[in-house]
Amino acid sequence: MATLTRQDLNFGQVVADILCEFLEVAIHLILYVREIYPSGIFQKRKKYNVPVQMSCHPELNQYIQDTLHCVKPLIQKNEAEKVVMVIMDKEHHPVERFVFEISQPPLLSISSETLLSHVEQLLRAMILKISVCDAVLDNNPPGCTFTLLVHTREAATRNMEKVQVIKDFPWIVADEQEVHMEEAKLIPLKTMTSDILKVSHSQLFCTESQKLNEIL
Amino acid sequence: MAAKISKLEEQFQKDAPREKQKDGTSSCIFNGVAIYVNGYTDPSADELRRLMMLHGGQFHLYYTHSRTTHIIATNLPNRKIQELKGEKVVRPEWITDSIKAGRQLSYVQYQLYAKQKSLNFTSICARGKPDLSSTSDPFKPSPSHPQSDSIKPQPSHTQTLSKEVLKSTHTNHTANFTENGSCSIIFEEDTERPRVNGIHDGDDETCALLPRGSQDTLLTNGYVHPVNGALKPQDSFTEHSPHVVDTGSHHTHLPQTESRDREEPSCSSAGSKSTSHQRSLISTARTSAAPQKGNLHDQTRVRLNGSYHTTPNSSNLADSSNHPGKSGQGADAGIISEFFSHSRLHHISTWRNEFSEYVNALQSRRRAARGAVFSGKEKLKKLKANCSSGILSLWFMFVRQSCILHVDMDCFFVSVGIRHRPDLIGKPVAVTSNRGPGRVAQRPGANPQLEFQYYQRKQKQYRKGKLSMTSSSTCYSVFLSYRQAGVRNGMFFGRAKQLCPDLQSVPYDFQAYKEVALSMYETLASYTHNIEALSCDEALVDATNLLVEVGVNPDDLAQAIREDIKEKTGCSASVGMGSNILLARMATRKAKPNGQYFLRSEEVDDFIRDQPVSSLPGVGRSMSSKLTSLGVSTCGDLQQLSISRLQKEFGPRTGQTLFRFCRGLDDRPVRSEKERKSVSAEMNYNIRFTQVEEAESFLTDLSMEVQKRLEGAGLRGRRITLKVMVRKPGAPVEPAKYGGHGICDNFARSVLLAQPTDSGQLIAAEAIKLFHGMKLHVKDMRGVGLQVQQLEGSHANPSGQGSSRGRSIKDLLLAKQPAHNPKKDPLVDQSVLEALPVDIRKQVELSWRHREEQPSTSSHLSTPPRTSSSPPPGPSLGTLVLQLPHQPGQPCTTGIILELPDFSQVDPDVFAALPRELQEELCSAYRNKRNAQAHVQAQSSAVMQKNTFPQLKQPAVGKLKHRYKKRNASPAKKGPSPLKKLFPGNSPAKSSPSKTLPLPLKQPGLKTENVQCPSSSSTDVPETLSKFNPRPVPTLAGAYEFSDIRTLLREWVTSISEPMEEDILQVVKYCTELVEDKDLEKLCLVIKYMKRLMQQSPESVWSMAFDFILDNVQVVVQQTYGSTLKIT
Repeated sequence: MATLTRQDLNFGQVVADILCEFLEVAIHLILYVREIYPSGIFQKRKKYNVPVQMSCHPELNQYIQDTLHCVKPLIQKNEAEKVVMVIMDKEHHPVERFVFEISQPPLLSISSETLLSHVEQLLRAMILKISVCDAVLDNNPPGCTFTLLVHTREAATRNMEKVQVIKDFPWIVADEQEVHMEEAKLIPLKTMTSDILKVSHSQLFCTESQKLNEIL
Repeated sequence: MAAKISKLEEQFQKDAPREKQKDGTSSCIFNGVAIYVNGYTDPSADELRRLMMLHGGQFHLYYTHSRTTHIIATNLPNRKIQELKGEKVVRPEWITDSIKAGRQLSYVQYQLYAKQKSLNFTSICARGKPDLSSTSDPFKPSPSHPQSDSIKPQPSHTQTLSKEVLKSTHTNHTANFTENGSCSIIFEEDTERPRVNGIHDGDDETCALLPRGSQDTLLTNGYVHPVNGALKPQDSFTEHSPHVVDTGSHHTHLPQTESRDREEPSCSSAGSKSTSHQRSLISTARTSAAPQKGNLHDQTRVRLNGSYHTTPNSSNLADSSNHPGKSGQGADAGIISEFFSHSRLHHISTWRNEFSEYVNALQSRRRAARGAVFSGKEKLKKLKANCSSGILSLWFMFVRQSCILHVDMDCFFVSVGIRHRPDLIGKPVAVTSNRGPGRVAQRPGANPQLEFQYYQRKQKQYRKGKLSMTSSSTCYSVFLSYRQAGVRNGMFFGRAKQLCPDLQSVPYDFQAYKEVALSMYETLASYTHNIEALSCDEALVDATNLLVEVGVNPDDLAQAIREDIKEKTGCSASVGMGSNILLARMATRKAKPNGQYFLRSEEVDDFIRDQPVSSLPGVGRSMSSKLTSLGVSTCGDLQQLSISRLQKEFGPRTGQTLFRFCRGLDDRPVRSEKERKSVSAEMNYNIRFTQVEEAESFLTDLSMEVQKRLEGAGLRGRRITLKVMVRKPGAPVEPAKYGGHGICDNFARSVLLAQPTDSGQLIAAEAIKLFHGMKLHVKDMRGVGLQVQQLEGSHANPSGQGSSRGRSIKDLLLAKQPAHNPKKDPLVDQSVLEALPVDIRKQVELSWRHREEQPSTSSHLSTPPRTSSSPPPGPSLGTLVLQLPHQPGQPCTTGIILELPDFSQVDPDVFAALPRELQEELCSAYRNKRNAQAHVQAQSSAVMQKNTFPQLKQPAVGKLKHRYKKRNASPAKKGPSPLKKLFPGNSPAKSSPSKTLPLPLKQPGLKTENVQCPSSSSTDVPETLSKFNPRPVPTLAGAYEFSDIRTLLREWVTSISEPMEEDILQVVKYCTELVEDKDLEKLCLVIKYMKRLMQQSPESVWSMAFDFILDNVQVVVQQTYGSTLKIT
């Protein structure tokens, strides 16, 4: 990033890059923390100067990458409102949702690099928060799967159908069942705001289905 | 049938001589009298039959309208009373007393019901008597009735039920009313009869009904057992029980007048039988068990836990007997309305509302008709014409001064009770439902001594009064025509009887009370319509105009009114007169009994000095004990205390009120039209739940009752408060008073809804939520109440209703303030103003009026925007303030001027939810505002004129140190603080008119032409805008860092014992803003912090405040995110 100069900076692009990078790390970490996959497939890596876990299962990684690759243009155009990672039980009832709410200030400006490190600090804080989020959450039932949802503005959906960023990786409209959780409880995990810089204001919280509590 | 009757008569005639022979003491005092015994009596029907034989009377086994002259009964269900309307229903004492007297006494004195009208209460009213006589030992009345009489209907229903059942039985049985979780009533008989699967064989219990020796009446000995509303037809029923019961849990039977054959469906649940045996017995309602034969020992055992279940069943029963074939209602739903329609205390208390409405109706009728005819007034005028006008002209000197009449009936209930009983005049009389000495067997679990001690302690605490309880657990309403021998209202009758052995009692007569009260109001209304209904026997009349118009003096008016009332109702009234309500009321005290007193203004000071403080309105037990501790016992003493002292002791408002009252000052107007503040329903009697589900269904029922009342009043409310009485730890499980609540702790929780409602379901849902939040032990619950506040008319603007989904709390907050001070200056906090002493307040108001005139004279500034109905440029409050155009000379075109809040304070969601026209109107208003601002900034010096206010405010603040300090100590409120608004720099709109621009950008829903579309790319926004953070960071009292907020909150919670509502609202507003700002993390932290702080606080108000805040925040979060925050 240091190589970027003011002239060739496309703010939206930078924001999307940073955010997608972060989302990728976060998704891997959530998969690990919430024990969706056996811990054997995860490796310890370092990101934002903190240890994180990353899956080394190629197909899983590919799925995540593809997804984020499609999300990136949306973020760039400020058309994505939320990126949601839904964890579902065997019957495909959502038990948890990790919602990354993205809101970008209408104006972006980058003045100096020190601010980027500030963003890094914020992202690190968020990653750390994710890694300890199991403390406030209940254990998931065995056999969970996950899926990624993107909440977009209406027009964006149309565009996405027209232009497929990646071939054979179409988006489908999420089932109501996947989106809707009854009696969910909201647990705010972390909010980061870096107003002057670019990224924004993303919000991570988790809604936890009441059903889960009932199982316990 | 006729043959049967004649056969019986023959039999009777045949038996008569034999009886006479046997007894020897015969007479013919009852010649021509034919009695019919209905139900259980003492002496028994058998005995009565014998007596009639002896004394020449007739005894009819069947009631025949044409031939039976008297009906003998001690107790009748309401239904029968209606059936027997117009008949002579006489207590059996009439016969015994007549025999004793040796002549036939007038039956009038022995009538069972003076008024056999269809009033619901009649059945209850009379119950005291049968209760007394029904038990084998007259000095040991059944424990159930007194309480049930005084308040509750449930036992009465059980009684009715049992009566209906038991009357037709004649067996050695025990009826166990067992109410278990499954809402069943089980009547059990412990006879040796074989029972298959717990089903009673109704017919094999057949026996002669009532011991009159007739063989032909076959009665099924039936037992009603509605199990969960599903009554199974019993196969074992014989042809004697032809009417079988369908699932509606009701039964039919042949009308009694046609046939004496009465059958009760009998069924029983096998399952619950064993459990019911194990239950401890609480003997109640043994009112109708008849010990007809010596060897028979009848006992009714009733187990009522959460006995409200019992009632609906029985009421269904009664209901169904009235409407055969109509299916029963949902059992539970009936109970609460049953309760309220039967509770006499409740009934009386609703009269006030009724009369208020009556007065309201009068008012509106007068407005409609314009020229109402006041018959009383005409009479007065005539009176005046007759008498010389010498004194009257004198009165005109005073007439300018207002004159309030306080009309109060003398010993209302007693006067009404004895108005047709001249023999009782002059004797001590108590209105009560019972005549027993009131000794009661102790129930298991009850510990009257302990409660007695508790109340005694409590009394001592208040250092006043003697105890008005006896060991009797029965409580009566006692009203004495003169209060001698220390007998007082509300005393237990047994104790009263001890004090005053010749105390007479008269029964309740609700129909009569109502008639008398109504005619009193009619009388008053014939003079003027400026009446405020205080209760059924008390009213305030503002006679100022009347006196001027007619030209009489107040004494004459009072005299005329009193005579009128006496004539129309037969009861005497006292009238107190004074220049205000307080004085009028005090004068009434002096006027009583049956007198009038006019407290002239020159006498006021002397008069009031000697009045005890407790005579002031609002001074109750706790306050007078507090005052006593300050060494104050009379108003004179109270006058010695300074207002600041009083305000310190009692709070700003109460202190000021006391300060004024003890000087005889009272500016409350006589309000003939009143607005309701809350609608509620509460039941503290007989609440004994065993399971949470019962409590929940009870809450649902209570909500339905509240719904009914809301609908009746045409109101919807936004705040729902759940009040619960919980047995105090250590208090006896069963209170001394049967079914009463005993010693309790009170808890209340409330929730604010997003929109007003009158839906019982919604209320129930919220109430149940609140209930669960309280985490109570259901078994210890003794009382439940639901109250709905923050009312508005249910026919509210539908456009507002439609969009209310999207309305936020903030909207509510914005709307709230103007409601409070519609015509006051927005910069003056009304509560502060009201708390000021009168003189200072006047000063403030004066200077403020002065200030208001200023801008209109310095025309340049304020006139243009006002006339153009665009907002004035002054610092905005964030509220819509309706200003009434009361400045003279103001060229006001619209009448109402909107002061617009800064656009940044407009909630976009609210804005989007507004109807389209309104949106456009607002937009254009803001456009105008922008224009005006440009105009204004050129004349910033003019703006500074507004700042004349601080000087005005300052002195007031200085004098009101105490109050002001308190406000400062509450850091959370700063929004409406007047001082803050003074500096133009503080208002962002002022320094940067462009500030209003970016805001519309966040409103996707807003598509008006003058606003830029949010989707337009950010690049074409003017460069200058980038300097501003478009979304103002939510702040609480100017603080936005979490640490600052924490400090603020800590200060707030620790320094003040009772949070002020506005502060709480500020916090809610802040939290709402956090949600809108999507800063849930901070919100979560703030809430958790508050939770810690407030729930640790010793004051329970704080935890209520927290609940309130949390509830509101959760609503907003729910709307925004679709789920609520998890707060651990």
